[in-house]
Amino acid sequence: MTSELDRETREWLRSATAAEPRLSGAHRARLKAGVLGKVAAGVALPATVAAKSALTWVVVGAGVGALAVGTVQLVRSPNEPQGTPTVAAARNVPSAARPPHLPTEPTLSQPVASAFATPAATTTAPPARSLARAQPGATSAPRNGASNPAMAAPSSGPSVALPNADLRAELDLMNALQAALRDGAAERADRLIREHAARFPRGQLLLERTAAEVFAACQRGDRARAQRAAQQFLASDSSSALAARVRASCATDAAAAADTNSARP
Amino acid sequence: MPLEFEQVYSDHADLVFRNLRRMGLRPPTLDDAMQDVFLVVHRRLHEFEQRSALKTWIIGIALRVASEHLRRQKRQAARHEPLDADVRDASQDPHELAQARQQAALLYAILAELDEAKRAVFILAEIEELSAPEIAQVVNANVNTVASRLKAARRKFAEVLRRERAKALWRNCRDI
Repeated sequence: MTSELDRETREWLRSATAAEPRLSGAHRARLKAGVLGKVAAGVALPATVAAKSALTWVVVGAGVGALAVGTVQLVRSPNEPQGTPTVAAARNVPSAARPPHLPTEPTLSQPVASAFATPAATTTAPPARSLARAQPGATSAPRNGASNPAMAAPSSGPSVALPNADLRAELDLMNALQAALRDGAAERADRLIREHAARFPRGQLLLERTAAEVFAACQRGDRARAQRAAQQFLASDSSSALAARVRASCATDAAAAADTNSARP
Repeated sequence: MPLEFEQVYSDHADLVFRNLRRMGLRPPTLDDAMQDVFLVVHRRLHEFEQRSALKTWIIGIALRVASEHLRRQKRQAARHEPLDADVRDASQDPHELAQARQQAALLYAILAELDEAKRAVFILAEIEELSAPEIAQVVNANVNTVASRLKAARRKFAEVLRRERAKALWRNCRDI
């Protein structure tokens, strides 16, 4: 197999599986009581499962042996460095180190920074700011991403390595773009958006760039362009905090109506 | 020596629970599926001929049950309920706890981006570390199909993780 998980992904996966919730003793006992209760009550097996489970296990034996000598390998590369942590090792993490709760169901558009972050990186993160709140005339000084401690030593928990050069360059560019929006420098923002599109056509922050397009267009009063970008953004992400900001921008009818109403004498 | 259900349940309840969760089941469907898996195990345990590992046999049942319950879950409005309060470990640092919960939640969210067949193969290969023939047996497909699904699943998983990581880094630095 040539397409194996890279080491970084594998280590993140190991760490994530170690963080998975486990059954509590009470929950485990309650479920078992439920099973035994159903057995005693003569509850029928789920039809699909009953049929398949009877069929599948008859054909196992010799087939497995024959397949085992096949050429397809799912195991990791033999040139993997010695001592690389394995998923199996992760399962040996003591239960005391495991999270006790089933996590709430996130969507990928929700912030999940601490899923990558060390405690230090998380606690030193700057307060939330919004591209959507960047308005012409705003006076916040642009910040240099490279000088930001969180950039210099990004979320480097045991499962995540430093960002590679491409990602760092993309982050720097997006930081500059955000600074331009915060300064109300829409022309500069447009230039940076074009630069991002040219340099990172398959970048990791494409949606964020599209949101920036919405906000830059709003700053320049170009509602048609803002609407096009907003439509493109919301087609991919309709539920995140950033999506809410896009909806609250000049690109949506509701926001435009609010502006019109507020402009009336 | 015949297998005792009590012991089988004790040894495999957590394994089943985690794999049902990884496949995308949530409470209360998760509990129903857990019970269905072990109802099948209870009824079929005498048929298990030990020609494959017990773990592999049980995971196979769990995946089939999961598939059925996923269809049911899609039809219902998902209710998000916390697990038992007694799972809480008061000695664990709250920040570490929150971080671990978010990491597990992100794992489930990334797995949910894979289609069901690829998700199953990815879990079996990369998390449960089953061999290709074992996976082929569990998902009832040939080894080449398994390899092809796994290749696509690995690519997608890494891609989504990279994207989420980039977003998280940017949030840490700038906040959107």
